[in-house]
Amino acid sequence: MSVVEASPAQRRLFYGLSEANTRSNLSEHHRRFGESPMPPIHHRHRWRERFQGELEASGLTGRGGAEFPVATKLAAVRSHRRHGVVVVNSMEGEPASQKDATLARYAPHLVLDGAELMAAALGASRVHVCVARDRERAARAYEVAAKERIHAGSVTEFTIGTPPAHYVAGEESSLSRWIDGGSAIPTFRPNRPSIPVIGGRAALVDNAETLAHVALIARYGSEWFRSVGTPDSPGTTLLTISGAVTRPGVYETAFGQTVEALVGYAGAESGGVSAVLLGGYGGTWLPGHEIVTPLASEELKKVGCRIGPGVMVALGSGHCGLAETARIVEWMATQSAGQCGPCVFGLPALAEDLKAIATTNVSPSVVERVWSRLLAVEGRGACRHPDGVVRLVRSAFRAFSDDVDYHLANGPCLGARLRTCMAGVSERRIVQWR
Amino acid sequence: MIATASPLLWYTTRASGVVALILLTASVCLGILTTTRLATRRLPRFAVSELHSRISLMAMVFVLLHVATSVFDTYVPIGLPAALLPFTSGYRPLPVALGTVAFDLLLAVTVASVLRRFLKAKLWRGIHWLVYASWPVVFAHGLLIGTDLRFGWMQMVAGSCGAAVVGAVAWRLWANPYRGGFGTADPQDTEANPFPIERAPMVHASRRHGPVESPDSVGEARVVARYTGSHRR
Amino acid sequence: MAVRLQIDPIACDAFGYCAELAPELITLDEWGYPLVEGHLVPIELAQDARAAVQSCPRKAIRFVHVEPSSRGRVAISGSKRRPTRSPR
Repeated sequence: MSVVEASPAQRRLFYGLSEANTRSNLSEHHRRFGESPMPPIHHRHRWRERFQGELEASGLTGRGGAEFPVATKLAAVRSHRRHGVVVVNSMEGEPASQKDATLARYAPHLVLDGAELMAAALGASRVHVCVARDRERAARAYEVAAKERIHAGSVTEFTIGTPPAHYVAGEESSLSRWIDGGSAIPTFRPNRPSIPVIGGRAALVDNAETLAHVALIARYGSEWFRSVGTPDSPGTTLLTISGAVTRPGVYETAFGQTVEALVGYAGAESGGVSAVLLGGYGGTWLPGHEIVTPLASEELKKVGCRIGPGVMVALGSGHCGLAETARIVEWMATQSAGQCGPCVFGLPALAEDLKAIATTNVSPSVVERVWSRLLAVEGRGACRHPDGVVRLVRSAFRAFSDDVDYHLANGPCLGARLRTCMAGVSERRIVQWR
Repeated sequence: MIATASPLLWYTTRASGVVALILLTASVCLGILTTTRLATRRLPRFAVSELHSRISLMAMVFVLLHVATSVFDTYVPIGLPAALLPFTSGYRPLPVALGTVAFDLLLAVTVASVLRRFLKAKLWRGIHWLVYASWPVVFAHGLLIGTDLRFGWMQMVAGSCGAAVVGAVAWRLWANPYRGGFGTADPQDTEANPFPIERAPMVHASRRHGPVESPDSVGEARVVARYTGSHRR
Repeated sequence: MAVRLQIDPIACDAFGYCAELAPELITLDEWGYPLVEGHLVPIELAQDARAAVQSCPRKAIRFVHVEPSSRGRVAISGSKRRPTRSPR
């Protein structure tokens, strides 16, 4: 693992972690960040308003992919008469994402601090941590951390649950259904935004990284949070950088750095990256000539991309973006919950067509068919799973439009025959924000 | 209360029983047809469904006629309780009991369908599945008690009804043209998943029920741990 | 009464009665599932729309009232509850 030290005054998520020091117990957590700023019981009312105000001023948005303002969600849950569970979403269904697992391993107390603070803001005493079933180490890490906190005197009731490790199981309605005893598949929620209900009470579901940021904002304030990043995208974020890079891993960075710099920091030459997949399998492709875009939501929106859950996968220069997209869509089709016809039938049909475009000689009518099927699939599922796939395919056609023309004219390119360059994140590299 | 020994009621019982059997058979076959989503130009799918509902209602009229005439006819000692409670008939208790059970099931299905608007879709569907139980009971009742089975024409009618339902059910199970397939990608194909690291065994999704947990995942202990720091609530 | 049609995609099982009864409002995609634009139902098609809603064997299609004030309300929803609440 390699680490770059930042200035000690800037205590961000990965502060204090180094190759020599990967302890994650409660005393180490207090040494790095101090005690958790939980309010005393009799000052709770005033504290809640101040806490809400700090979160609003900080402009923190959710790090689970939806980028929904955290303060707005908290206010919405608080406004319901019966509220009371805080759910930590550490499911991390995106295969290319390791940030929540990293947080669980190296900073679980930050996440649980944030969860307890949100529980205090709601007047709740139950925190439910959801970790995907295949991430046993993360589940155990949260177990150990929860036990430590109880031992140190916390009055919160912690439950560590392990829903099935399925792509759509990390969705809010899936988790609320699972915690209530059902299957971990999404429900139909026509009125968005809507608050999930667990056991008859409104529940606050937040991503693990979001809660870690909340813990630090509660300590150091919203101005501290906004002191880095851009005005519209303040603060830092965790990125899982993988693909055609020599140092794949989880990085913490401030918003505003260009994608090129970040990928270069992870060990890719700027001439060697032809495109970057931002936001995971349900995200968007950033074309090679646009990787000088700063990593900030308002800048990325201009080029039709989103940050999503902090995933960056670099596509090597010799590889074919259409083939990689076809592989991704094929896998995403298997991850359908199987509840809605347009998703169950539409995604495999899209996958077949994309595979044909990438690997065989096809006529332009296949491309037309893909476009019309995208319209038939988008927005017609109960959850946003098919929408993510549609977004990915649209951005692929935009980013690789030259490749599409080449494939239609000459058949599959050499890159399509290569094995995928999107290798997994094999080592955990902790890097301070920069 | 009409209780006569007139053969009119007796003949009405037998005749309405035969007609009810034919109509119930038609209803079951049409019901199976709706699940296959078949239609013609003249008869679109919703019309097949409507036809099924109306024939079922007509069948229930004849079933009620059959039950009423058999109860009020004093030629055979089938009393009023026998209409709803099995084994309370004086005349041939077992065959009549079969009829009673069938009548109870059909009553439940009919009431549920009439009140369909007020029931949840899943509840109505569950009750409606009782017809698969009631038709064999109807058929058995007819075979055991059928006074007209000594005639060849009645044997042909009963045989065709039986063949029709058996054929329709077999078709539904094995040759149904409507099949909800599930995609073409093989979930086990790790080539398709460029990130084979730290992924769970693929959960296999079926068409209607969502992801089913694969056998080698930790199925039982869904909640890993629950830690409470305080007994205060 | 301003209403539009809404399909519950989980309940829908591609029977297609709705598209047969209200073809101006509902079309079927290539897999047999309904496509509803989401515009208001015009008065002259209200009867067809009602027939379509009542005919669904899975109760997957329903009317949704369109209110101008429904913007900005956050709905509460769960597997058992219908979205009815608004923030106080």
